[in-house]
Amino acid sequence: MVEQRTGSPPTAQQELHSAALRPVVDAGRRFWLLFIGLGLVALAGAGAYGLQLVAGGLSVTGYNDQVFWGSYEATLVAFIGFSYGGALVSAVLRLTNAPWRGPITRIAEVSALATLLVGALFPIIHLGHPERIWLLFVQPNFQSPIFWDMVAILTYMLATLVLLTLPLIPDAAALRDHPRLGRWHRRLYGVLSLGWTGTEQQRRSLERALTVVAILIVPLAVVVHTVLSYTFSLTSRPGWHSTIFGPYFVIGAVYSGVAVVILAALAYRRAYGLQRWIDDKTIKKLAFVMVALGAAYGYATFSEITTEGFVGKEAEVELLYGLLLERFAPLFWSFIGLGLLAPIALIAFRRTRTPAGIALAAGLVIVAMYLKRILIVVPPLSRPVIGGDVGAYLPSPVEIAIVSGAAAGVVLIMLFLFRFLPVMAVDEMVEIEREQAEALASRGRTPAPQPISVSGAPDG
Amino acid sequence: MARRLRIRGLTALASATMAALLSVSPAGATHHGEGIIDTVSVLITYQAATAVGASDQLAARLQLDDGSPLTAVEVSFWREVDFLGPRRIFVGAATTDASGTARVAIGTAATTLRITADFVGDEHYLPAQATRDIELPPSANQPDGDSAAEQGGSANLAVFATAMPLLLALAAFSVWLLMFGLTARTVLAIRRGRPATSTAKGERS
Repeated sequence: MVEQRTGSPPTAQQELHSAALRPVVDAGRRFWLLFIGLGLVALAGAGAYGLQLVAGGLSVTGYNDQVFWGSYEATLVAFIGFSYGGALVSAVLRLTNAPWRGPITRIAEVSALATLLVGALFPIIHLGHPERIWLLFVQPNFQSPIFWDMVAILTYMLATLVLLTLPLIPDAAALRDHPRLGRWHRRLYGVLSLGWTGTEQQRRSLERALTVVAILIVPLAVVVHTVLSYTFSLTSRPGWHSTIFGPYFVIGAVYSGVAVVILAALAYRRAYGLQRWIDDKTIKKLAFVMVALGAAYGYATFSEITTEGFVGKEAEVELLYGLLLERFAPLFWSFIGLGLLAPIALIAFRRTRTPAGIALAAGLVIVAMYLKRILIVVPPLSRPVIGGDVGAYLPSPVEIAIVSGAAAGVVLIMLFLFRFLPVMAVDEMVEIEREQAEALASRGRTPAPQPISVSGAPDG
Repeated sequence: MARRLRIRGLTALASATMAALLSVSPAGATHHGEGIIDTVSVLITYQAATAVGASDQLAARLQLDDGSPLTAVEVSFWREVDFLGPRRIFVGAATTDASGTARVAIGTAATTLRITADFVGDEHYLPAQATRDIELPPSANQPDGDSAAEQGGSANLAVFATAMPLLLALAAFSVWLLMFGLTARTVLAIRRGRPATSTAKGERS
């Protein structure tokens, strides 16, 4: 039997357990409608990929001799970036022992895994002969960033999986006897709990392991995105060959990743009435993190453009002219407006700093950052390096279907995982509550008799 | 007899000259385009600095089939290195003078160099290229022979190129090992976990 942790009244703990299991035991009709709808989109994407395989490979895409990378590469960078943000939110908040992390770490970890699983498919989707992927393992080219990309992504995937799985052990033990769980779920939670009884020794082992993984995942995520940026910056192509690309990619990844966590947290709290635990304060703190990262990304963009433009090498000036004033200007200024200025403005003003305003800001960041990845990939390629025509690129319906299917796939994986896993890290939340109560008591102050989740005040 | 000897001597001289004229671009010679009238050969030489402060110099002489110099064309000089795979490092570019010679300064701590001189061709002449391994003669600017730098920038690069993937592979392997080890250890520790006793933290309070 799991020990009854102190610091919260049992009823509050039971309420928390029930709330964390709502998507598991009480998915609701809307869940299934969404699941079927997204499933159809994902199926359409899979069908489009099948068409690409049988109908001549990449000839069904908008790729051509000049623009030989496009939406698949942008999606790879974007999705790995989303994943990075999720993992980093969880790891950094855990390492800094931020007390508001409890309700959102599970959502952050699941979003990290889901986006990573789907994003990692895109190098394969780009291959004309995907059956040759095994050559990466048996005939690796150690001098290729693609090989190290694969190593980094697989290593990061393993770390993300461990970061998600370990905190599930005490949660599974706490929830396995929940009266609303079915037999199958009880059996699953019984296996996942690994005989957890909540002893000091077990808790210490788990804490130690989680700290190591959290420490490890930060440099790992930096490495993954830096190596991804090397796929571009280690070429001599103007617009790609830039020393700032490593940190630029990393900041962009966290920026868009935090936006995904915000959107996922808001969606789950609204759908399952979790406002009491995922409260406005938590969402606002995440929003401030996102805005700070947005400002950093804006600074990096400014620095990149200014450095290249000031020196004024012919090829780079041509590129910048196209980006800022000519062909790609509508897309670029849309990114600046919708992806940087609008989210910062929405969160800066108290009037718009509401859950709806923050959701809008996060949505804008996700869309605009995808657009930015397209702008990183396509314009430098459209300018020929060794003569020839200026290239044009428009994603084909097959590409659009595949990318849409992938986006639907991410949400599907999250929905699927939360049909089995508690949506909040209940044990961690109880622990945080207990630690705070102990800290207050040690300072000679009586802890306020609050329910779990600190603020406890339902918003909305 | 004397005439035969003279012909043989001329042939030998011609062979020696041709050997010295390194690597006339054979690929270019087979692709005569409209307006191209001549092939070009390239001879690379290296001249060590004779005074402190002066530069070591690479030179490439471009000449036509008849031996006349090719003037006022640009020649690029590249250093061939093995750094994470075979690569070229741009040394410099210069225009040939009246003697058909283009010169660039080079500073290196290496003892051997593999240099390629590249003429891209134009509407009158085919492209030409030559590659030459050069043992560096003593230079007024060369270190005294004991320094680590002199013992081979190239050698260091080669070691780096070999060691780098190994180090990266080792790092990745260590992380995997750490992850698996940590997970296994935690799982075992939890499985072995004592049943709650009076020392357990949860029951202290």
